[in-house]
Amino acid sequence: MMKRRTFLATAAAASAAAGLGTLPARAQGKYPSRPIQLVVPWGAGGGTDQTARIIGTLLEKDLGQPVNVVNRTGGNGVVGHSAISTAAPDGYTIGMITVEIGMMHWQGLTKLDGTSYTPLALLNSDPPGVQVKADSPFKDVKELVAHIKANPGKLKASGTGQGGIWHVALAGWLEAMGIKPESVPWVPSNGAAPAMQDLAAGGVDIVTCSVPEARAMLDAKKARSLAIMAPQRNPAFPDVPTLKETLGTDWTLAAWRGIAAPKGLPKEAVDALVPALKKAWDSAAFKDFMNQRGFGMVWGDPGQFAKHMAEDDAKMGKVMKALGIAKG
Amino acid sequence: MKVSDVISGALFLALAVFVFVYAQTLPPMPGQRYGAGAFPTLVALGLGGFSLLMIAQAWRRRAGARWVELADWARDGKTLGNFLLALALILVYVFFSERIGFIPLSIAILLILFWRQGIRLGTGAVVAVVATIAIQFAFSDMLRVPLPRGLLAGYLW
Amino acid sequence: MESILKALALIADPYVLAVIAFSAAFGLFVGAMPGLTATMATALLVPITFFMPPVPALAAIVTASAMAIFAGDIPGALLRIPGTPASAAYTDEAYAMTRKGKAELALGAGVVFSAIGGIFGTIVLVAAAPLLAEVAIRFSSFEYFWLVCLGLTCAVFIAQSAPVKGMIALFLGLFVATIGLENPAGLPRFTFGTTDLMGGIEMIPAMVGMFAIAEVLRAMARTQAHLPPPQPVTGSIFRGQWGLLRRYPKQALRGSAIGTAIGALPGAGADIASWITYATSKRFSKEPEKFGTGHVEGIVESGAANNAAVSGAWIPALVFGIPGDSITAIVIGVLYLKNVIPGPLVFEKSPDIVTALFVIFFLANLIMIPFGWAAIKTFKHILRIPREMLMPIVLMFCIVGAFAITNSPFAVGVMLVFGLLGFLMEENGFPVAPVILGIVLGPMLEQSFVTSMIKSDGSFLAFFARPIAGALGAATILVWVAMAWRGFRRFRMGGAPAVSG
Repeated sequence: MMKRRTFLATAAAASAAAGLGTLPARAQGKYPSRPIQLVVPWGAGGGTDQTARIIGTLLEKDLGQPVNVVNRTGGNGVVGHSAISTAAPDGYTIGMITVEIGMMHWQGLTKLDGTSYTPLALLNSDPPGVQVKADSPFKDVKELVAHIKANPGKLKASGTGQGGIWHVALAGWLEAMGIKPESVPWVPSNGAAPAMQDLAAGGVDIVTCSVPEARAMLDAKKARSLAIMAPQRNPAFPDVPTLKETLGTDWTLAAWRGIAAPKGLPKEAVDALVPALKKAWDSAAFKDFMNQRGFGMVWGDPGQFAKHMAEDDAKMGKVMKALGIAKG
Repeated sequence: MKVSDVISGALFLALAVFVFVYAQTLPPMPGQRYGAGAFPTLVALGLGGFSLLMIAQAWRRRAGARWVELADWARDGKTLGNFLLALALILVYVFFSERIGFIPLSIAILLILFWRQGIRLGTGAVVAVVATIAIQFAFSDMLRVPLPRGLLAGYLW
Repeated sequence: MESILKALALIADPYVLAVIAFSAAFGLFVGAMPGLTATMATALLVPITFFMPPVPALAAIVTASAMAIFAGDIPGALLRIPGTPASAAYTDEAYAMTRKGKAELALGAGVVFSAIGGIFGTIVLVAAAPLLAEVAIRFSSFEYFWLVCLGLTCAVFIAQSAPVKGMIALFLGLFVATIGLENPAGLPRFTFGTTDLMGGIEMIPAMVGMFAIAEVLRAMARTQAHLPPPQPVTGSIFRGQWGLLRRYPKQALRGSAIGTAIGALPGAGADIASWITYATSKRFSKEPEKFGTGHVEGIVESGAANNAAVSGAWIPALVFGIPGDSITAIVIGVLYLKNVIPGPLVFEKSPDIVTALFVIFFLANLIMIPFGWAAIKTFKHILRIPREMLMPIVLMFCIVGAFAITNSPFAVGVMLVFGLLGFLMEENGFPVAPVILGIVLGPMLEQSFVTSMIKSDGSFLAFFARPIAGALGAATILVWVAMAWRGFRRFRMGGAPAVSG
């Protein structure tokens, strides 16, 4: 009995010493006065994670407080995006949001959309290419389209999961050409890399994924890129024409990444973060990294970012409804 | 706690039935033959089939066997208490770590477990504090794992 | 040649060498602790390797897992308590040797033949992995489907004493794998509207739960019994080892070869390799009657086999992205985190890291000899850390480790649920390893099946239309028919549980 009482007393003392007691709260200084968490909804090591980590390092230098990149993965981005949105809007939790925020709500996976955040900066945008196997009979994208029209359902395409960004890219392109999206059945994959490998193995015929994601296989001469769905050619692949040049269609799409915070971020934090992000985006370190990976650089301030998200959202909704993967 | 294979088999069979019924409610993939329900349906059939096989095997051998047999630890109040306490402490961590923070909770959990395991109080307190600080240092400071700061937010950082 | 020099330059970094030394000590410590497995050593390292560059991260895992498998021999020989399941097969033999005053010979054989087996497995890994990669570039979802089916078959071998319970555990794992949003249809399943469950059940918190938390719970539920003090080790452990190698070269070679092959089989690892080679050693021995009385022959063969299996398990892990054992199941996750994508292209995409990995394997098995010697020397001091103090600390490490995987307390909850589940399953004679096998292979099985059906427009014949797929499919079905036939006959002969035979 004695022992138990002594124990409890010690436990209480230890807890108090550890701060469970009633010490007065320390006064908070000017923002930022403590480390910032930068939440990434995708896994460590991927393109989004790497972009976030380099931005985090640059922000850390500028703001003088540690910026810790935290991966909240799972649920094809749902988990991380909702973690950013539901965090306290105090400026100490920000996150990297991606194109999926304009897609997931159409599928009924979440209620969140671009308006659930305080947009801070749009940083990057990557258009998809149309890749085929190196020894594929199709010389250019015109021949490919002619074959699809003549043999609907014959060719299979891949690049991401069902209803993912590259699935929408393919379907939207086919629709814009007046072809039914079902003419090219979609083979869901766990991302672009396995899809590119399946392309080389002869499992699928077309892979629509971003050019940086296809790069390794293109460099290894296992695959060819016939066109990109962008307004301009990619400087890293000057030989690959745009869809507009070859087919005359205006269809373009891109996967983008940007920094956002929970809704209702105080003005003080916005005014500190936006210039810091612009400075990071302009820095040589960021430019070198993006060019080395082949990622497209786009800048959008909070207003432009919000507008971009709204436009993107509407476009996605239209295609996803046509595909039958949007709810309601 | 050891239960008869007939009982555990029935539990797994119930899970299989639930998975099967749930899988039938999943909509098909637009434009595809096999939807989200196909694979869980197969898993449910496999789980259910082997559960039935186990029940059949155990039923043949049931003579003399008890339905539920409490293991030694579950009959002894002390070990049963230790067991439930460990579970409860992890649960407390799951639900309160964000609010209380890693450091105070870790010290408390270690102290309580050490005490129940019969470790001397002074030794236990020293080891609990040292181990907590070591984990906090290794994971939070060196590896930047965002261990919850809880009540200590604003004091140490 | 150039890539070997590059790899050596990557490893000669003092930071990497320090990581190797630390991981060696860590692996030895964990392996020598009764109840803590090599898998657990690896799982505990994951959150730490999370923040390292790829080469030291892989060095940490390779070194720690090899050391832990060997170190399991130490308490086995001295106390009759296997440090890891992989040492369990010959624990009685080694303990009998200790009682006959031959502890040095038993422990020496443990460390020397562990190193030999590990190096043999590494040579096969270096020589055969790129060769297998040449074949694997032609693998599409049809081939992967049959490979996954073959891998799942191993659950029966894992659970040889209770095959039906093994299958139930496997299907339980497959069910767990269906939870969440990440499936070919991209639809939430079994999530009941919660965002946390949309992310699915992460394999690592589930595994830390099933292995480590279940072990902590077992420790809590045990009535206090202090471990007996270890027997003193005097004399040199290396004396007489050369003689053993000359006397049992065939046993060492057979153990290494079988160990590597079993390690390379998806789902079977060092534990099974150790049991099977102890059996083959006895089966082919000239003096089988001496087994069990303190005879070193079986230790030579299965001591080599369990470490060979650790290396062999990396062959399918690297080339197919399919885990060869529970250690490489974790390794694959780490490889993805480091953007080293397992698969046939790993040799093209990350040649420097793969070469560095091979060099690390050789290095880890070579330094096993001095580190093992030191570990045996200091073991009795380490054993003095009382278990009742160790297990609560292990618990805190598990909590932090599970949390670090997704940075959410939800993962700690997953760990708790699987810990309790693993504890109850083991009490009722269900093997837990097949659950992990199911969680790991489930998504691959569904993915390869559904995508194959889409590609073939719903025709089952396509699973046999490509040459490799056809051969793999035929082999898989043959194995299944043979197993079902044996199971059926046993069931008819009185419903007794099938015994390994």
